[in-house]
Amino acid sequence: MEIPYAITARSDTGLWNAKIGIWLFLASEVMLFGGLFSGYVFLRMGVGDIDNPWPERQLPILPGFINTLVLIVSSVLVVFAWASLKLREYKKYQLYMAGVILCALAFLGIKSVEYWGKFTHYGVKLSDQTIFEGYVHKNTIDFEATDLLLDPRQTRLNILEGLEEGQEPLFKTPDGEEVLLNTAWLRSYRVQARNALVEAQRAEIEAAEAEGRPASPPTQLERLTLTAVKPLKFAFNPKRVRSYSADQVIYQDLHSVQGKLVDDSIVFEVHDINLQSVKDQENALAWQFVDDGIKKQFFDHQAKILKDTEERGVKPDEYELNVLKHVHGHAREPGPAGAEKQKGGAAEEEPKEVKPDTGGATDAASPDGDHHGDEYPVVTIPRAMKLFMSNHGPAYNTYYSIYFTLTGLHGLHVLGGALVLAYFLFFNKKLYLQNPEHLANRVEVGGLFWHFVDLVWIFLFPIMYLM
Amino acid sequence: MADSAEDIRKHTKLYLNVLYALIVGTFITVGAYWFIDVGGEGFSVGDAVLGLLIATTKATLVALFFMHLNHEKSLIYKVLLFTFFFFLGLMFLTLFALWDPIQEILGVGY
Repeated sequence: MEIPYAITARSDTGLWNAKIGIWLFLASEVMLFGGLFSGYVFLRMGVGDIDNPWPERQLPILPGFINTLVLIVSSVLVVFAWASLKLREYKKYQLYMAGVILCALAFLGIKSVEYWGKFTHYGVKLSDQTIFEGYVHKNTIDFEATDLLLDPRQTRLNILEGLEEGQEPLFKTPDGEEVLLNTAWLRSYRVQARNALVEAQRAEIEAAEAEGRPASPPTQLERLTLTAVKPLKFAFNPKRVRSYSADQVIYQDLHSVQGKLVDDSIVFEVHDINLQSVKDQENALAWQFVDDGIKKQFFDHQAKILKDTEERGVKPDEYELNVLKHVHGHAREPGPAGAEKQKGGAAEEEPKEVKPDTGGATDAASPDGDHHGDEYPVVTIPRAMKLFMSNHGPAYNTYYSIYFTLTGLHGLHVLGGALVLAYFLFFNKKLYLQNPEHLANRVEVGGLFWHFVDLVWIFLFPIMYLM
Repeated sequence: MADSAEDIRKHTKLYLNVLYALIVGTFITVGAYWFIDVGGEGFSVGDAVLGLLIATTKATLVALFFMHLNHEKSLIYKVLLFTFFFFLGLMFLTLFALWDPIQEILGVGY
């Protein structure tokens, strides 16, 4: 049965089915993106309460600029592809449509590079609001364990993820039996322990019945303490640690190790120093980690901007004024020990029970490439001095949350649109031979969606990159 | 809708002109960011208005010529009229939130 008005228009509306369908769909898309844009405005207007200062104009413009041009060119190519079908020039249609797909791939490629840069670029906020931006060299809680307390309610042994390479998890049970700890052993231990409990309970019930008294309630499985044959070195991902102290680490899976905390500092390669929210910049915590030359660079940079803007009679940009980019110099000697002696009392305290970071801090994640060099200071920050640490992903601040939401959703639209257009290009030749007008209609509908995607980007580019 | 072969050939040149206009518009957007500073150093409301004006002009060109809204059937315009109305509503939600009388009475809020 032929579906009516798939190719020819209805006489009353003058439209064929898919045409009205795509416009209704685009209307719903306008509402979807409209809601998110409205959310962006809301977050930005309420920034004083949430995330002060709002990061303005901090993204590199070039990738966004190139992507804008790429989408514009792809938009005109899709119109040409449609026009070629109307003129029954299939070869030209193929060429134009291939161009559209290439543009889509280029857009997604550039976007991926941009995202990768954000996910590998980190920021650490110290307790006085100093922000170091750069790359993480080490972010682990290093611990030397002598005992492991197993929670027999768990079937997993995730705690062993933290075991440093080249060591075998060899332990002795309280009975003196030597075991190589793994999930299979844990599970068999659980089965045995439970069976023993069930047996004990059964015996208790029988005895209680015989004695004519109520049976005592069943007992629970108890924690099992395993003693390491040789002390084991762990380097825990702080995100997976439930809590830790100088002699214990409780892991996310509720198993814990006992022993001694070796090191819980963060080693960080500083590229930029942001003192935008620091009240007393002269005595900022930043200067406890980097040498005096860098401090001088910062204040020289500030003086230069102030002089320049004063001469021009304009107000200085707060971000430019308070951020030193591409820091050159060295970490302060002797590193954190010197820092701890100075102010910043939190660092002097013994590590307390600290809740793990929920802000997206991950394992040491220095990217490969040319980001690293001797010119950037590599500082060691006691974890207790850190307020927050994250890569520049959605968790970094409100701006990055909305940036990833909007550009991510837009990127998915580009991917979806490209897949549909690629389907038309590679699988619709038969349709063209049967009824070229049908394929032209399909391409027109796909093209309308593609133009909408371009249209959204036309707004996203200035809003996200330039404002 | 430009459906005849002759019409389509005629429109090809127009599409190219729109492409050039959009490219120029993109350069103007970035140029305004670098060289025109409305209301002092750094970002200001003036910069936002200017940026959005250029973006709206570019979006209008895409909608009118690439999406053929310069000569479309009336039903599509009706659909878009509703969409525009509700889109405005969404945008004003932000302002409604900021004009919240309860917060004013309590003396809290932004």
